[in-house]
Amino acid sequence: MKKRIVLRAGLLITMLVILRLLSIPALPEPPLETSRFVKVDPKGTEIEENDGPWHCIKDNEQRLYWMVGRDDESPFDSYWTYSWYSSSLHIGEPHKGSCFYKTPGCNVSDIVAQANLQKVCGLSTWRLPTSQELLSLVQPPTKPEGPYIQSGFFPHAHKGDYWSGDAAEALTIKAFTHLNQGAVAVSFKDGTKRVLPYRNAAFVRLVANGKKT
Amino acid sequence: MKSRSLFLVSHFVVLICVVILLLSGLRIATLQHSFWLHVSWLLPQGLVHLWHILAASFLLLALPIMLWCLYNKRQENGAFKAWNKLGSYLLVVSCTTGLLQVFSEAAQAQVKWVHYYAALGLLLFFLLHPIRYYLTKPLRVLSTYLLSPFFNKQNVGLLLITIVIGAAISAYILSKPDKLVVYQIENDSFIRIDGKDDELDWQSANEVSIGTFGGANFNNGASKVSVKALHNESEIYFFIRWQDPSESLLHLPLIKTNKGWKVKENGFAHNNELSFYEDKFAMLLSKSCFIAAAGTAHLGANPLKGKPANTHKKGYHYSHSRTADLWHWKAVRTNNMFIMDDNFIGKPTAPIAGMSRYTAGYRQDSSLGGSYIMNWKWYSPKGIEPKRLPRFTETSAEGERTWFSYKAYSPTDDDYSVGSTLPSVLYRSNQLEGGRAHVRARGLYDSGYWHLEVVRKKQTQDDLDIAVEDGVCMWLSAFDHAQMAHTRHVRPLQLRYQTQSK
Repeated sequence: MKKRIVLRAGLLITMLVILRLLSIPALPEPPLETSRFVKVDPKGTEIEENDGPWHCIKDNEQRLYWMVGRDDESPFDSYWTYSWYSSSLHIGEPHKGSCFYKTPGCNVSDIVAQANLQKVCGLSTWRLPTSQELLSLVQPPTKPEGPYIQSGFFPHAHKGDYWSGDAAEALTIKAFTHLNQGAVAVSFKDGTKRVLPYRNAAFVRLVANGKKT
Repeated sequence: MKSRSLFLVSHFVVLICVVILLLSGLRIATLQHSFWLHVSWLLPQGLVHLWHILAASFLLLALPIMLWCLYNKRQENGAFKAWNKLGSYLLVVSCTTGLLQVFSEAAQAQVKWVHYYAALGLLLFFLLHPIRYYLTKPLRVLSTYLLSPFFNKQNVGLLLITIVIGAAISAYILSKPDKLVVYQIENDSFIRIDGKDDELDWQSANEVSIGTFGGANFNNGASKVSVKALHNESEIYFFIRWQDPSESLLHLPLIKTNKGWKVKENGFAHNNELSFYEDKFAMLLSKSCFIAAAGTAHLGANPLKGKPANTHKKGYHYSHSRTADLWHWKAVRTNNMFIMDDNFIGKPTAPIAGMSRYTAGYRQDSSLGGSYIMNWKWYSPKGIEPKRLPRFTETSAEGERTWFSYKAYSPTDDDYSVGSTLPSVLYRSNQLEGGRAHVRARGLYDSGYWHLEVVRKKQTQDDLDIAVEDGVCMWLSAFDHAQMAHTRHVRPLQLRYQTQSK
């Protein structure tokens, strides 16, 4: 009799174990996406994908660091705009952008100087990206009517033009041809590039090469 | 012999139905009774409301037959008969209260309470019921009750008949939305969206009341919702009134501690705030009248295989077939913009790397700018740094503030004493614009009720919106200072347009 009860109890436990095993997913969840991007916190430390805050992104594909536009009214706030101007080559328009930290207006050299001065994410090699580097960020919007960029890693991105460092290009848009030359911008509204007059106010997303200092 | 066959078939159907009903029912119960999340691994996930209704339909058919066989034909000793009678009573109470939840909107909270505890009793009965058989002759019991119904053609025939009639009952239950008659008004009739139904047209509108239940913080989790609607050639208006014992305008306030600023919360870290949250109201509209919010309510921590689990373990909204419109009124974040946040429920999206919260098919319409922001740079349950600080002394942490009444955060300005509180919602300088701003609305609180007046174009030409046409079904949910624990109702309201004004 005891043996029979033990056998039946064993049968019952086996059934419960089978039921439990059936309820466990057979396969682990697949990784979300390839790990092209890694978040980097304000001190320059790489952090987990769902952690924050982060001020930079390490781009394993392009082998460089991207600065992430913020929403904190610092010099690196994503809302500020800049005209294109090279303080070393003295080409472009110096005061046509809109940012809070400089009057009468801002240009791209200002934010590059600020980034290197403040060693954002421990880096002091910040510069404007090439248009090819910027285009490498273009992807279909991750939210309806959103910008053409991965908004999980790049929040506060705008559906607008972002300056590249490619300058002295001929303006082909008919309304601007009288200005002769401009710089290349990539639009994250539609993921295309075009030459804009230096005087235009556009957003900036800086990149940095090399190792953290 | 006929009676024996009938008993075995009906008992088999009842057995299967009770298993499905208990498992799906306990999953549904996790929405209100978090205790059952401890056995979440055992409970089904996904569209469990459908399974619950289907199993209930078959039970409604098989239970009377089984009870008839039990009490007229079978001989058992007194103790066993009394025990089985107890189980029968629990089954009958469960069925009756289940039917009341579907077909009657009265006393939903009480009915739901009885249904829940009857189900718990049934669970206990179900676990103990087979023990005496199991300990004596388990194989024979398993053979008799699980296999023998399939041993002869007569039994298989009875099972098929059960399936056909049960399916018919299900179809009947699933096709019975309540009607909301929407009278037509003149195109030049003016209705001010101010939260008051003092225009003459509202006085003649048809009003429907529904008992919603299952929310957090309301009295017994229930709120009675009254709704009336009007339409003209291009727009539809709603006036909604719902019970809420308190006007809650304290939305995730910031509090200064000796370790810096923190968000005052009770569950927000798991996306399930239950205390420090604004009141809200949601309207879901769909061309589908299918149960469970047009078939979008998928319960469980991980109803979507291969997608991230939700942190609150309650479930996701998503649709496999078509878009449902979801208008979300928020007492602090949208009310003073005079809008409802126009969102939608569509197909589940791919998870976006780097985003901390996955919402499956629940997403916002497009935005052209504006909106509100939360006044922290990065949320962490351990502490936050505000984006902005008040320009002037704050006297309350309730409600929202405007962007320009605050200034950019600076550690040198942060001389707030421990215990100081600040509101966390800031309106941008411009209002929400684009697809998210398609629904205009205004809510007013008065004497234990919120009153919400709503208008939207019937056809917005936005792919993420549905056309609000005759026959569209609607679900209404109220939130009492809770982030996601909203009330619900079983059957939808179906809009029926009258082309002549009353």
